[in-house]
Amino acid sequence: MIGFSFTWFLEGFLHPLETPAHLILLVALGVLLGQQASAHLLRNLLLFCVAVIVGFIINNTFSLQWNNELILLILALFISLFTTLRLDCRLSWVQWMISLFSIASGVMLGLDSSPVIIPGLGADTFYNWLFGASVGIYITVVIFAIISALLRNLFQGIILRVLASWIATSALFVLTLLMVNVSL
Amino acid sequence: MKKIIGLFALCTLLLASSSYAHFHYKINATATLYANDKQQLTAVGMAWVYDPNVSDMMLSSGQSINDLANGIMTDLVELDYFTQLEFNGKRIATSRPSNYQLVPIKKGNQNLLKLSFVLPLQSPLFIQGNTLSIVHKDPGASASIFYHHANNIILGQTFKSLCQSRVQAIKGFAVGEAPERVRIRCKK
Repeated sequence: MIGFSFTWFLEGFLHPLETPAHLILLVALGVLLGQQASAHLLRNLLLFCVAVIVGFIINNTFSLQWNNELILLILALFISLFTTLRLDCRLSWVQWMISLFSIASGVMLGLDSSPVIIPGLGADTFYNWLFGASVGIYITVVIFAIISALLRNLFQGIILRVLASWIATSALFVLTLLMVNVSL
Repeated sequence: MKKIIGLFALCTLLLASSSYAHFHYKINATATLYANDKQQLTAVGMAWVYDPNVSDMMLSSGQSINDLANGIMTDLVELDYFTQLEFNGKRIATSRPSNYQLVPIKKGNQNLLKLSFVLPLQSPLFIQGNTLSIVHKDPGASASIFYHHANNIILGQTFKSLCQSRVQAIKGFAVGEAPERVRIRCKK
Protein backbone atom coordinates (compact mmCIF):
# COMPACT_ATOMS: atom_id res chain seq x y z
CA MET A 1 0.00 0.00 0.00
CA ILE A 2 1.48 3.33 -1.07
CA GLY A 3 0.79 6.19 1.32
CA PHE A 4 1.06 9.89 0.68
CA SER A 5 4.47 11.28 1.58
CA PHE A 6 4.76 15.06 1.70
CA THR A 7 8.61 14.89 1.55
CA TRP A 8 8.60 13.07 -1.78
CA PHE A 9 5.65 15.04 -3.10
CA LEU A 10 7.56 18.29 -2.38
CA GLU A 11 10.72 16.85 -3.95
CA GLY A 12 8.80 16.12 -7.15
CA PHE A 13 6.87 19.38 -7.03
CA LEU A 14 10.07 21.43 -6.85
CA HIS A 15 11.90 19.46 -9.54
CA PRO A 16 10.54 21.42 -12.55
CA LEU A 17 11.16 24.67 -10.67
CA GLU A 18 14.75 23.72 -9.79
CA THR A 19 15.66 22.68 -13.32
CA PRO A 20 16.38 25.73 -15.52
CA ALA A 21 15.48 23.98 -18.81
CA HIS A 22 12.11 22.84 -17.36
CA LEU A 23 11.24 26.22 -15.91
CA ILE A 24 12.12 28.09 -19.12
CA LEU A 25 9.99 25.70 -21.21
CA LEU A 26 7.05 25.87 -18.77
CA VAL A 27 7.08 29.68 -18.79
CA ALA A 28 7.39 29.75 -22.60
CA LEU A 29 4.52 27.30 -23.05
CA GLY A 30 2.30 29.01 -20.46
CA VAL A 31 2.76 32.37 -22.16
CA LEU A 32 1.97 30.87 -25.59
CA LEU A 33 -1.11 28.97 -24.39
CA GLY A 34 -2.52 32.05 -22.63
CA GLN A 35 -2.79 33.88 -25.95
CA GLN A 36 -5.52 31.56 -27.22
CA ALA A 37 -9.24 31.62 -26.77
CA SER A 38 -10.36 29.68 -23.67
CA ALA A 39 -11.71 26.65 -25.61
CA HIS A 40 -8.37 26.13 -27.38
CA LEU A 41 -6.47 26.87 -24.18
CA LEU A 42 -8.31 24.11 -22.29
CA ARG A 43 -7.85 21.62 -25.13
CA ASN A 44 -4.11 22.27 -25.32
CA LEU A 45 -3.72 22.17 -21.54
CA LEU A 46 -5.42 18.78 -21.52
CA LEU A 47 -3.16 17.56 -24.35
CA PHE A 48 -0.17 18.82 -22.38
CA CYS A 49 -1.26 17.03 -19.18
CA VAL A 50 -1.74 13.71 -21.03
CA ALA A 51 1.60 14.16 -22.83
CA VAL A 52 3.44 14.66 -19.49
CA ILE A 53 2.05 11.33 -18.22
CA VAL A 54 3.01 9.65 -21.52
CA GLY A 55 6.52 11.07 -21.05
CA PHE A 56 6.71 9.63 -17.51
CA ILE A 57 5.66 6.20 -18.79
CA ILE A 58 8.16 6.24 -21.68
CA ASN A 59 10.93 7.38 -19.31
CA ASN A 60 10.27 4.55 -16.89
CA THR A 61 9.76 1.88 -19.55
CA PHE A 62 12.59 2.57 -21.97
CA SER A 63 16.02 3.96 -21.24
CA LEU A 64 16.32 6.55 -24.00
CA GLN A 65 19.73 8.18 -24.27
CA TRP A 66 18.63 11.55 -25.62
CA ASN A 67 20.07 14.90 -24.75
CA ASN A 68 16.81 15.96 -23.07
CA GLU A 69 18.08 19.29 -21.80
CA LEU A 70 19.13 20.37 -25.28
CA ILE A 71 15.74 19.39 -26.77
CA LEU A 72 13.85 21.15 -23.94
CA LEU A 73 15.77 24.38 -24.51
CA ILE A 74 15.38 24.28 -28.29
CA LEU A 75 11.62 23.73 -27.80
CA ALA A 76 11.49 26.68 -25.39
CA LEU A 77 13.36 28.81 -27.92
CA PHE A 78 10.92 27.96 -30.76
CA ILE A 79 7.85 28.41 -28.54
CA SER A 80 8.97 31.82 -27.30
CA LEU A 81 9.86 32.95 -30.83
CA PHE A 82 6.37 31.80 -31.89
CA THR A 83 4.90 34.01 -29.14
CA THR A 84 7.07 36.95 -30.14
CA LEU A 85 5.71 36.78 -33.70
CA ARG A 86 2.19 37.14 -32.23
CA LEU A 87 0.53 35.16 -35.02
CA ASP A 88 -3.23 35.03 -35.33
CA CYS A 89 -4.27 32.13 -33.08
CA ARG A 90 -7.49 31.66 -35.07
CA LEU A 91 -5.53 30.33 -38.09
CA SER A 92 -5.77 26.54 -38.22
CA TRP A 93 -2.06 25.96 -38.86
CA VAL A 94 -1.19 28.12 -35.84
CA GLN A 95 -3.61 26.05 -33.71
CA TRP A 96 -1.99 22.85 -34.97
CA MET A 97 1.46 24.19 -34.17
CA ILE A 98 0.41 25.17 -30.63
CA SER A 99 -1.09 21.69 -30.06
CA LEU A 100 2.11 20.13 -31.39
CA PHE A 101 4.23 22.32 -29.08
CA SER A 102 1.99 21.33 -26.11
CA ILE A 103 2.38 17.62 -26.83
CA ALA A 104 6.12 17.82 -27.53
CA SER A 105 6.74 19.89 -24.37
CA GLY A 106 4.68 17.51 -22.21
CA VAL A 107 6.43 14.40 -23.51
CA MET A 108 9.90 15.94 -23.14
CA LEU A 109 9.21 17.19 -19.59
CA GLY A 110 7.94 13.72 -18.66
CA LEU A 111 10.99 12.11 -20.26
CA ASP A 112 13.37 14.34 -18.33
CA SER A 113 11.70 13.71 -14.96
CA SER A 114 13.41 10.85 -13.15
CA PRO A 115 12.20 10.30 -9.60
CA VAL A 116 14.40 10.04 -6.51
CA ILE A 117 14.61 6.37 -5.55
CA ILE A 118 15.82 5.25 -2.13
CA PRO A 119 16.34 1.49 -2.09
CA GLY A 120 13.74 -0.04 0.21
CA LEU A 121 11.38 2.88 -0.17
CA GLY A 122 11.21 2.53 -3.96
CA ALA A 123 7.45 2.54 -4.65
CA ASP A 124 6.75 5.12 -1.95
CA THR A 125 9.32 7.61 -3.22
CA PHE A 126 8.62 6.89 -6.90
CA TYR A 127 4.86 7.54 -7.03
CA ASN A 128 4.82 10.45 -4.58
CA TRP A 129 7.67 12.10 -6.48
CA LEU A 130 5.93 11.68 -9.84
CA PHE A 131 2.66 12.97 -8.38
CA GLY A 132 4.47 16.04 -7.03
CA ALA A 133 6.30 16.59 -10.33
CA SER A 134 3.04 16.46 -12.34
CA VAL A 135 1.31 18.91 -9.97
CA GLY A 136 4.37 21.23 -10.12
CA ILE A 137 4.44 21.11 -13.93
CA TYR A 138 0.67 21.68 -14.33
CA ILE A 139 0.42 24.48 -11.76
CA THR A 140 3.39 26.36 -13.25
CA VAL A 141 2.06 26.21 -16.81
CA VAL A 142 -1.48 27.16 -15.69
CA ILE A 143 -0.22 30.15 -13.67
CA PHE A 144 1.77 31.48 -16.60
CA ALA A 145 -1.12 30.83 -18.99
CA ILE A 146 -3.43 32.88 -16.72
CA ILE A 147 -0.89 35.71 -16.50
CA SER A 148 -0.49 35.61 -20.27
CA ALA A 149 -4.29 35.66 -20.80
CA LEU A 150 -4.60 38.68 -18.52
CA LEU A 151 -1.79 40.51 -20.30
CA ARG A 152 -2.95 39.47 -23.80
CA ASN A 153 -4.60 42.75 -24.68
CA LEU A 154 -2.56 45.06 -22.49
CA PHE A 155 -0.58 47.56 -24.63
CA GLN A 156 -1.53 45.49 -27.71
CA GLY A 157 0.37 42.51 -26.35
CA ILE A 158 3.73 44.29 -26.26
CA ILE A 159 4.39 43.13 -22.67
CA LEU A 160 3.92 39.51 -23.71
CA ARG A 161 6.21 39.91 -26.73
CA VAL A 162 8.90 41.43 -24.51
CA LEU A 163 8.41 38.58 -22.00
CA ALA A 164 8.66 35.99 -24.80
CA SER A 165 11.86 37.56 -26.13
CA TRP A 166 13.32 37.39 -22.59
CA ILE A 167 12.43 33.70 -22.45
CA ALA A 168 14.08 33.15 -25.86
CA THR A 169 17.18 34.96 -24.58
CA SER A 170 17.19 32.84 -21.38
CA ALA A 171 16.87 29.65 -23.46
CA LEU A 172 19.75 30.76 -25.70
CA PHE A 173 21.83 31.69 -22.65
CA VAL A 174 21.32 28.28 -21.00
CA LEU A 175 21.93 26.56 -24.37
CA THR A 176 25.24 28.41 -24.69
CA LEU A 177 26.27 27.37 -21.17
CA LEU A 178 25.27 23.81 -22.03
CA MET A 179 27.42 23.86 -25.17
CA VAL A 180 30.48 24.96 -23.19
CA ASN A 181 29.79 22.21 -20.61
CA VAL A 182 28.93 24.42 -17.67
CA SER A 183 26.82 22.35 -15.32
CA LEU A 184 23.57 23.95 -14.13
CA MET B 1 -4.20 45.06 -12.36
CA LYS B 2 -4.39 43.82 -8.75
CA LYS B 3 -5.02 40.30 -10.06
CA ILE B 4 -1.89 40.49 -12.23
CA ILE B 5 0.24 41.72 -9.31
CA GLY B 6 -1.17 38.90 -7.15
CA LEU B 7 -0.32 36.29 -9.75
CA PHE B 8 3.19 37.69 -10.16
CA ALA B 9 3.64 37.50 -6.38
CA LEU B 10 2.57 33.85 -6.48
CA CYS B 11 5.04 33.12 -9.28
CA THR B 12 7.82 34.85 -7.33
CA LEU B 13 7.02 32.59 -4.39
CA LEU B 14 7.23 29.55 -6.65
CA LEU B 15 10.53 30.71 -8.13
CA ALA B 16 11.95 31.51 -4.67
CA SER B 17 11.24 27.94 -3.61
CA SER B 18 13.56 26.77 -6.40
CA SER B 19 16.52 27.39 -4.08
CA TYR B 20 15.38 24.30 -2.14
CA ALA B 21 18.07 21.66 -2.51
CA HIS B 22 17.60 18.30 -4.25
CA PHE B 23 17.15 15.45 -1.74
CA HIS B 24 20.29 13.55 -0.91
CA TYR B 25 21.49 11.44 1.98
CA LYS B 26 24.68 10.05 3.46
CA ILE B 27 25.76 6.53 4.23
CA ASN B 28 28.74 5.82 6.49
CA ALA B 29 30.43 2.69 5.21
CA THR B 30 32.90 0.06 6.30
CA ALA B 31 34.35 -2.48 3.86
CA THR B 32 35.93 -5.82 4.73
CA LEU B 33 38.07 -7.88 2.36
CA TYR B 34 37.50 -11.66 2.39
CA ALA B 35 40.06 -14.18 1.16
CA ASN B 36 40.17 -17.92 0.51
CA ASP B 37 42.91 -20.36 1.55
CA LYS B 38 44.91 -19.52 -1.59
CA GLN B 39 45.12 -15.90 -0.42
CA GLN B 40 42.83 -14.77 -3.23
CA LEU B 41 40.22 -12.05 -2.77
CA THR B 42 36.78 -13.69 -2.87
CA ALA B 43 34.37 -11.02 -1.67
CA VAL B 44 34.01 -7.57 -0.18
CA GLY B 45 31.75 -7.18 2.84
CA MET B 46 29.88 -3.90 3.20
CA ALA B 47 28.37 -2.36 6.30
CA TRP B 48 26.36 0.78 5.61
CA VAL B 49 24.89 3.00 8.30
CA TYR B 50 22.14 5.24 6.91
CA ASP B 51 21.93 8.85 8.08
CA PRO B 52 19.30 9.71 10.75
CA ASN B 53 16.86 11.20 8.21
CA VAL B 54 16.68 8.15 5.91
CA SER B 55 16.85 5.73 8.87
CA ASP B 56 13.82 7.49 10.32
CA MET B 57 11.97 7.34 6.96
CA MET B 58 12.63 3.62 6.71
CA LEU B 59 11.71 2.89 10.31
CA SER B 60 8.47 4.80 9.96
CA SER B 61 7.59 3.29 6.56
CA GLY B 62 5.35 0.69 8.23
CA GLN B 63 7.40 -2.25 6.87
CA SER B 64 8.98 -4.90 9.08
CA ILE B 65 12.79 -4.94 9.24
CA ASN B 66 12.89 -8.16 7.19
CA ASP B 67 10.60 -6.76 4.48
CA LEU B 68 12.65 -3.58 4.44
CA ALA B 69 15.90 -5.55 4.08
CA ASN B 70 14.45 -7.61 1.22
CA GLY B 71 13.12 -4.44 -0.45
CA ILE B 72 16.49 -2.68 -0.16
CA MET B 73 18.38 -5.63 -1.63
CA THR B 74 15.87 -5.99 -4.49
CA ASP B 75 16.08 -2.28 -5.35
CA LEU B 76 19.88 -2.32 -5.08
CA VAL B 77 20.16 -4.97 -7.83
CA GLU B 78 19.14 -2.39 -10.46
CA LEU B 79 21.48 0.18 -8.90
CA ASP B 80 24.48 -2.19 -8.96
CA TYR B 81 24.61 -2.03 -5.14
CA PHE B 82 25.98 1.53 -5.62
CA THR B 83 29.32 -0.27 -5.87
CA GLN B 84 32.00 -0.82 -8.50
CA LEU B 85 35.05 -2.86 -7.62
CA GLU B 86 37.99 -2.10 -9.88
CA PHE B 87 41.16 -4.13 -10.31
CA ASN B 88 43.95 -1.95 -11.74
CA GLY B 89 41.25 0.35 -13.11
CA LYS B 90 39.19 -2.42 -14.72
CA ARG B 91 35.77 -3.31 -13.33
CA ILE B 92 35.47 -6.68 -11.59
CA ALA B 93 32.32 -8.76 -12.12
CA THR B 94 30.43 -9.46 -8.91
CA SER B 95 27.57 -11.81 -8.05
CA ARG B 96 24.31 -11.18 -6.24
CA PRO B 97 24.79 -11.07 -2.45
CA SER B 98 23.15 -13.95 -0.63
CA ASN B 99 23.99 -12.90 2.92
CA TYR B 100 22.51 -9.65 4.10
CA GLN B 101 20.93 -8.20 7.18
CA LEU B 102 19.42 -4.95 8.33
CA VAL B 103 19.64 -4.07 12.00
CA PRO B 104 18.52 -1.05 14.00
CA ILE B 105 21.38 0.50 15.96
CA LYS B 106 21.53 3.31 18.45
CA LYS B 107 24.08 6.12 18.21
CA GLY B 108 23.66 8.63 21.03
CA ASN B 109 19.96 9.35 21.02
CA GLN B 110 19.58 8.55 17.31
CA ASN B 111 17.98 5.38 15.94
CA LEU B 112 19.86 4.36 12.82
CA LEU B 113 19.73 1.44 10.41
CA LYS B 114 22.74 -0.62 9.48
CA LEU B 115 22.73 -2.73 6.34
CA SER B 116 25.37 -5.45 6.02
CA PHE B 117 25.94 -7.61 2.97
CA VAL B 118 28.73 -9.53 1.30
CA LEU B 119 29.39 -8.79 -2.35
CA PRO B 120 31.02 -11.93 -3.81
CA LEU B 121 33.41 -11.77 -6.76
CA GLN B 122 32.45 -13.97 -9.72
CA SER B 123 35.93 -15.45 -9.66
CA PRO B 124 38.62 -15.18 -6.94
CA LEU B 125 41.42 -12.74 -7.65
CA PHE B 126 45.09 -12.39 -6.70
CA ILE B 127 45.42 -8.76 -5.68
CA GLN B 128 49.04 -9.09 -4.55
CA GLY B 129 51.14 -6.58 -6.52
CA ASN B 130 48.04 -4.80 -7.77
CA THR B 131 45.53 -2.11 -6.84
CA LEU B 132 41.93 -2.64 -5.86
CA SER B 133 39.58 0.36 -5.91
CA ILE B 134 36.13 0.68 -4.43
CA VAL B 135 33.89 3.22 -6.16
CA HIS B 136 30.42 4.06 -4.85
CA LYS B 137 27.97 5.83 -7.17
CA ASP B 138 24.22 6.31 -7.06
CA PRO B 139 22.65 6.56 -10.54
CA GLY B 140 19.67 8.27 -8.92
CA ALA B 141 22.01 11.02 -7.57
CA SER B 142 20.68 10.82 -4.02
CA ALA B 143 23.12 8.77 -1.96
CA SER B 144 26.73 9.58 -1.08
CA ILE B 145 28.75 6.82 0.55
CA PHE B 146 31.64 7.82 2.80
CA TYR B 147 34.42 5.88 4.49
CA HIS B 148 36.07 9.02 5.91
CA HIS B 149 39.16 7.10 7.09
CA ALA B 150 41.34 4.19 5.96
CA ASN B 151 40.52 2.45 9.27
CA ASN B 152 37.09 1.77 7.82
CA ILE B 153 38.65 -0.54 5.24
CA ILE B 154 39.21 -3.79 7.12
CA LEU B 155 41.89 -5.78 5.31
CA GLY B 156 41.62 -8.97 7.37
CA GLN B 157 44.40 -11.37 8.35
CA THR B 158 45.33 -12.32 4.76
CA PHE B 159 45.83 -8.83 3.36
CA LYS B 160 46.79 -6.97 6.53
CA SER B 161 50.53 -7.48 6.09
CA LEU B 162 50.45 -7.11 2.28
CA CYS B 163 48.11 -4.21 1.55
CA GLN B 164 47.66 -0.58 2.44
CA SER B 165 44.36 1.21 2.12
CA ARG B 166 43.89 4.88 1.36
CA VAL B 167 40.77 7.00 1.41
CA GLN B 168 41.03 10.32 -0.39
CA ALA B 169 38.18 12.84 -0.43
CA ILE B 170 37.17 14.17 -3.86
CA LYS B 171 36.65 17.92 -3.69
CA GLY B 172 33.51 19.28 -5.30
CA PHE B 173 31.99 15.86 -6.05
CA ALA B 174 28.50 15.89 -7.55
CA VAL B 175 25.76 14.25 -5.49
CA GLY B 176 25.47 10.63 -6.56
CA GLU B 177 29.08 10.56 -7.77
CA ALA B 178 31.83 8.97 -5.68
CA PRO B 179 32.74 11.37 -2.84
CA GLU B 180 35.97 9.52 -2.08
CA ARG B 181 38.71 7.64 -3.88
CA VAL B 182 39.27 4.33 -2.08
CA ARG B 183 42.44 2.47 -3.09
CA ILE B 184 43.96 -0.68 -1.67
CA ARG B 185 47.52 -1.21 -2.88
CA CYS B 186 49.10 -4.61 -2.26
CA LYS B 187 52.72 -5.76 -2.36
CA LYS B 188 53.77 -8.94 -4.11
